[in-house]
Amino acid sequence: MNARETFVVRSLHPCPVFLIGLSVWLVLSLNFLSAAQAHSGKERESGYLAELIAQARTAGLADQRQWHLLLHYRPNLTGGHTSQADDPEFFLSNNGKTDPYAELEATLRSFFSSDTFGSLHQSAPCAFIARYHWLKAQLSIDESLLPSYHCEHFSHWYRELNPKGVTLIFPSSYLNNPSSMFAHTLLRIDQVGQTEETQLLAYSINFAAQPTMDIGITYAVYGLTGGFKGRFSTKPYYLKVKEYGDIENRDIWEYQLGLNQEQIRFMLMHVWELQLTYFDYFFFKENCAYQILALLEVAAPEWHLTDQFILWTIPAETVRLLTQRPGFVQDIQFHPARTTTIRRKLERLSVNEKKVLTGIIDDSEAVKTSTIIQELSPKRQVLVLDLAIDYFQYNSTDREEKDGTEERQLHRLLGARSDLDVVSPNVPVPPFSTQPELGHRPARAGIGGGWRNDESFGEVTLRAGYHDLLDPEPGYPPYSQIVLGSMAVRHYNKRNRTRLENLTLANIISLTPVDMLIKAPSWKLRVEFDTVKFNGCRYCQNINLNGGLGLALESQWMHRVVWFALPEFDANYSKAYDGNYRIGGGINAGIITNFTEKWKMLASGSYLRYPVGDSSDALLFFFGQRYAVTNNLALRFEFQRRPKDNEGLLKIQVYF
Amino acid sequence: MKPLIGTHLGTVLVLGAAFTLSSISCSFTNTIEKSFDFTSSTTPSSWYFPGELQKQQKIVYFSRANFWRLKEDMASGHGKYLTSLATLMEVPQAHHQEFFVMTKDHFHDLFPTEQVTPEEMLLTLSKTLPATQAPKDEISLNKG
Repeated sequence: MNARETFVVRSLHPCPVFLIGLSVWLVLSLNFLSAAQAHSGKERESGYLAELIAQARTAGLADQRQWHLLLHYRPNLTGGHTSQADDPEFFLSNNGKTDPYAELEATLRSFFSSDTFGSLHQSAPCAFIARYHWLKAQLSIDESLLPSYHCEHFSHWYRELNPKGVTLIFPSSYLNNPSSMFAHTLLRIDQVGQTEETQLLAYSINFAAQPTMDIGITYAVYGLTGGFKGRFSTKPYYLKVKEYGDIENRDIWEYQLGLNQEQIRFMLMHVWELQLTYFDYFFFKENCAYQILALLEVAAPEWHLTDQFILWTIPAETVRLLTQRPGFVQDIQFHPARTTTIRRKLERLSVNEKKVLTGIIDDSEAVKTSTIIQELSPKRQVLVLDLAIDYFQYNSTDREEKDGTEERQLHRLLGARSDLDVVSPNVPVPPFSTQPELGHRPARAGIGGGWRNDESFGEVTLRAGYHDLLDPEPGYPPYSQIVLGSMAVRHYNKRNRTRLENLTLANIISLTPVDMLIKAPSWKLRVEFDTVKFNGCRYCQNINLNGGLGLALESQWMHRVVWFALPEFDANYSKAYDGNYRIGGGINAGIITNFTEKWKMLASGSYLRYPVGDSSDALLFFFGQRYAVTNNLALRFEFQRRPKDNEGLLKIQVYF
Repeated sequence: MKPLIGTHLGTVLVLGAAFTLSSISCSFTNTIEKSFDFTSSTTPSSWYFPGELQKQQKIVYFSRANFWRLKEDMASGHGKYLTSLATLMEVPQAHHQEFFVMTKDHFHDLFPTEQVTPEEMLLTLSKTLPATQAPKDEISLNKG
């Protein structure tokens, strides 16, 4: 008797046993049907997955540039590809880091699974939303054949960003933090309805290393060798303005980019999926600027941005690259640091007003009692008062808690300012340096000739980066120098000998002219291998470590002149010295000025006394002049005098 | 000055959020950074604020992060920080100028001492606004 017959017979003779049996049968049948349906669904899904995989293979999707960009694959030395993303969670295949094909198939497979990913427990199409949308478009995926999903977390995040445009943000270099010496780039996601006045409320996308230690030797080694993890973050832009503009006092340049809505949405989808990974952070190459370019490439794969950077990625060079694309940068804005604002406002004060300012800063009560301030016109009172407020804000923004006295002083000044019913004058604050893309290229090669004591020589120089005190100034912070990886090779004609004359690992100088309000120190640090003439050793190799800390001043008599004096220490290791070394200290002082826009001069002298090792002293003098033929071509003359050792050198330098 | 600002439930939420957040013990910069950082391992989804409270939290976070800048703008009666606060509080664009003048005129009420906290300033601001006898619906702090 088959099941159908049983049902008919029993239905004609109802009884409790029959009813129980019927119920059991119905439940089993329904389960069977449900399982059969599920099985059939699985089969259908499995069939559709196989179809998609076959389609992807035929189309060669795993070889396509967009797939490589989304997974951050770059060609490796064995002819294959390796992803620069380093978190295994970012890959759905065990071999995903090095196998684009396996990763693509695993990604397609994940769209049919109920697995969730990341701390938000998202389904694959939501966690890897850019990949999903790209594959969906390429393969015309029928979503009705996939398990249903709702990306509410992404939707909420995207609504919060409310994007209308993208602006590249360039906080200029900050020499007091090694990781920011070459400046920084990040993106601001401009919002629908945003105005210039409300751009603080936009969100930023930033890539930064997460150091696990304080600055030191290990920090440097980790930073250079990928020892730190770098992650993307999305934070309100006002936090970044506070960090870079207020605390670190860095001028900020803003480049509005010409991305369309579709490109912006796709790039943000990719940002969303990057929350699942980190990238080993390499200070020189895979740094903030590189990863920001990698994001922009996802939006516009045809651009090939990261390919332009082989050994290092300097943020200013990435800005130059973007500005070179016709029409891509639509607008450039300057956002001055607090110190730039203070300096520019200070330039506008008369001698008398400066006295009033000093009085107010010394005793904020004076703002109400002093007759001198009352004698100023209301507009000038406001200018002075605003500047005093700027000063107190600058002096204490790097501390979350202002100390009691400063807090009281500032509060009093703000109260006095609110009592003045005068609109603050709109003081223009032009930058002290032009935007970065207008500067010379960072690498430099030179060729020249000269004499050293009684013989002539020819010299070839090569510098990896970045800018020295005599290089053309546009685009670089004034009176700063960062020289990394520089070498000079000389051929001495009389002795017919070619030698490595100088190899500079780092030579950094930061001159910050003090004024009545800003009293930051100036400093320098140099590590190099050079050539000395000493104790009968004509040209001896020497390892030199030099550093100094002091002050710089600025005068404006005929030209803008910066004067500096830096007490310094100096350590040397060479066979020229008794005991092979000498260590001491002294003072280095000099002036630097631009005679014209193209013609610059630097003169400095040092007296050094070495009480440790080979007891000796030295009087050194340097005089250099540069004439910029173009932004990337310069002539330079240098004269150096050391004890019983003089040399002069004329050379031509090309920046590239 | 033209009278302005009617307040309702939103103001209460601002204050509630302000005092809730003021009880967070760690330093505020870190709190802000972490709150908007989706990579934070300790608060994996704390950048994600569902619903209406998010608006109130935004006002408080913004005020805490930019307190001295806001104070400066309020004293002078204009500025990006003050405009941003007005925007967060959903003061209609047409009434921004009145809002700026009001904060300048009431500066000594908003900041009677140098020790006033952002949360206290927001509380006073919310009290000051209805005191201007504005028509109830002319400007709302929180329409959302």
